[in-house]
Amino acid sequence: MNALENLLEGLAQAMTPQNLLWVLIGVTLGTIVGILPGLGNPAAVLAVLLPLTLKLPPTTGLIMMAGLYHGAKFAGSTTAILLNIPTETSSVVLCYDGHKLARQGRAGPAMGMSAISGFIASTIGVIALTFLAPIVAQFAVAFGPPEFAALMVFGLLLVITVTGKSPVKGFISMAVGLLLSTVGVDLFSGTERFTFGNINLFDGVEFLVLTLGMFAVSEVLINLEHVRGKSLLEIPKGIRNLLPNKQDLKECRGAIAQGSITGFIVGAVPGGGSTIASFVSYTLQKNMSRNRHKFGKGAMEGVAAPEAANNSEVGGAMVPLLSLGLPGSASTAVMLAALLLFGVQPGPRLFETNPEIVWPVIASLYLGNFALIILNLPLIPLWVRLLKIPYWVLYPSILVLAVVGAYSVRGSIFDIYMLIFFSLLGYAFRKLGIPPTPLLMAFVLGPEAENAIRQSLILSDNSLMIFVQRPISAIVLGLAVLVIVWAIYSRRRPGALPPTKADIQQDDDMDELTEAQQREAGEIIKVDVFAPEPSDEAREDGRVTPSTHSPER
Amino acid sequence: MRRLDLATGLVTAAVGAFALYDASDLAMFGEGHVPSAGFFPKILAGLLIFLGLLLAAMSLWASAPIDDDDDDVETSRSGKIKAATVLVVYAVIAPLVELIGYIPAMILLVLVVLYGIERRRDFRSAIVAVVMPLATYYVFAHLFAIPLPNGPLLPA
Repeated sequence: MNALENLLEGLAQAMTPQNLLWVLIGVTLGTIVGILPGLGNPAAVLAVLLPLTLKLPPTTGLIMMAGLYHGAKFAGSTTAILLNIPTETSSVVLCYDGHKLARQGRAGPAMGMSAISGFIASTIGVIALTFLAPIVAQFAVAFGPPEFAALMVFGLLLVITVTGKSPVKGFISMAVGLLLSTVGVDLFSGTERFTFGNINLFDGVEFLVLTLGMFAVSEVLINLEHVRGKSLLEIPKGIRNLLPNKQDLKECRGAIAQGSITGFIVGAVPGGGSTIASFVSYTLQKNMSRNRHKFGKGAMEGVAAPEAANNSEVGGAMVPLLSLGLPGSASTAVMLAALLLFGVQPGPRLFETNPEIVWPVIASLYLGNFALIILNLPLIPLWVRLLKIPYWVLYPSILVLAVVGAYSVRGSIFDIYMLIFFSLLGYAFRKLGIPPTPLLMAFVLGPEAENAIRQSLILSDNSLMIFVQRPISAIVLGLAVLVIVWAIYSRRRPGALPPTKADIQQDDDMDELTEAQQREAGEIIKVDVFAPEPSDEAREDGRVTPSTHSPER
Repeated sequence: MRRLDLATGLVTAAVGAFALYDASDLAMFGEGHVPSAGFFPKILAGLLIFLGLLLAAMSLWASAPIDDDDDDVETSRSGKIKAATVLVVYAVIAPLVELIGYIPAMILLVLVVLYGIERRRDFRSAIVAVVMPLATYYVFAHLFAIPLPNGPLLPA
């Protein structure tokens, strides 16, 4: 029986009414739980809800897990786009363009694009998994510490292409993130680093605490400088304005294809993960796109590419898991635990010994994503309506959720102090024009990069030549150099300068045309949150007219 | 912005120098000349010092300020004071979670923010101040069994 027949049979086994019901429940639960800070990480969602899946038959339980996983992923992109708060590492990149699109009144299309590109990429990932698993497994085995170190360095060096106008500030942010990642007890030697004798720092800085402070709370503080009690963002009326249009889909075809391939390849590398997959995909797309000047300012491709990578990575990550028993990420580590609990031993012979488990599992990945798009796509208008909540209600809620999220990590008051510290740091970064995202990326990748580099140097007796002598490592580093050279060249070439006022005015004119077209189709509720409040004198003199939307009191 | 960049650069270099000082007891290389605990931290600290000094130097010699702020929005002085006040209030009240309990501390936080800073002294603010902490307590402590401190005011 060939792979396609096995997959179709797996789909047939998976698509029973009971399994379909549980995958829908899984997607719903995963989305709801994934929204919450402290539990937004898909691995955490899976871990928390794993006991539920164990009560079900093995195939059904694994199918429900696939639903939970996809739901949690979607939740991460939801909070990143709507609120600029990434609850999991792979949705950090969405804050660049996704939230900018939301600020331009295109939250719905951004979320829709996230779901659609994820669905398409997941389909591609499952197909690739079905037919390429044995080949990719051999490639994954060839990855040793030097290759992994090269991949991490590649990811970190790509920071230069997304640091905005000041690469120096971007590198400062990255260096601070790497330094923060060294806090704690060194795994190799057991030595304390930067703990100042505080036992709470022995395990290092918690990712969630750092994220909540640098992104959630600092975002609130920045918004407070502008928003005066109104809704946070513009909410277009009409369902057509709440989903991506044909132009968006046409523009993003290449981004989805690129993201799907990148995500699958990176995901297949043990330890690759969706974070680096989404980041690499975003950076590649930014450098390849004809609209690269829009990246960072609200480019739909900036949502499509990383989300495609994020979702096809799942298919890639299943390759080392199923064929080698090696979990490639935290989420697949939890899946491995579930497989073992169900009595399934992943490994090279899994496809022969337990085909009745494996193929429905692979099919369930696809089902989970299908259920996600059926369930959550129509709910996007509902999610977007959350933005209608007055900001004076929303931001205290975010502050409260940040406290409970930080405290829930370890039940330690120290994490609340760290939350406050990172809130201040995040606010300071924003005021000083230092991008916070490279810090977060470096913080996540830092420990793995350090371990891989140290292991590589141990292998090579401290010779750096190991990184160029091994072919895969040399290729990855060569790609990194190419991307950086291209990024520097594209910054400096004629026409690559930041837009002038005339360019901005032209863009504004284009936006007005779009708005006019939108007004014909349906009304837009325009909330000019950035207009300064006119003085009472000005109002009395009649120098200003009432705004179209009165402030909420 | 140029003076700000100069200060940012100098502070960054100072942070790097402090990190280098704190890591001075850590060995760069261990037995068998393998990279040890101090390898990464010292390199990063040196990198921070370099980047900080570079930023400071660029701010002195650049003809135009290095402005990475994409927002064209001007912030008002009152907005900045409001943001700073919220941060101070947050820093003072959030740590009271373990002292007085999660629910009382969060109710106090929201009340101070809404009544004191936002000056929304109405029934809706009171409802938000009570409902939000209670709802999050229920979800996290009861549904997900994550222990949150009750404090002396509420029963265990």
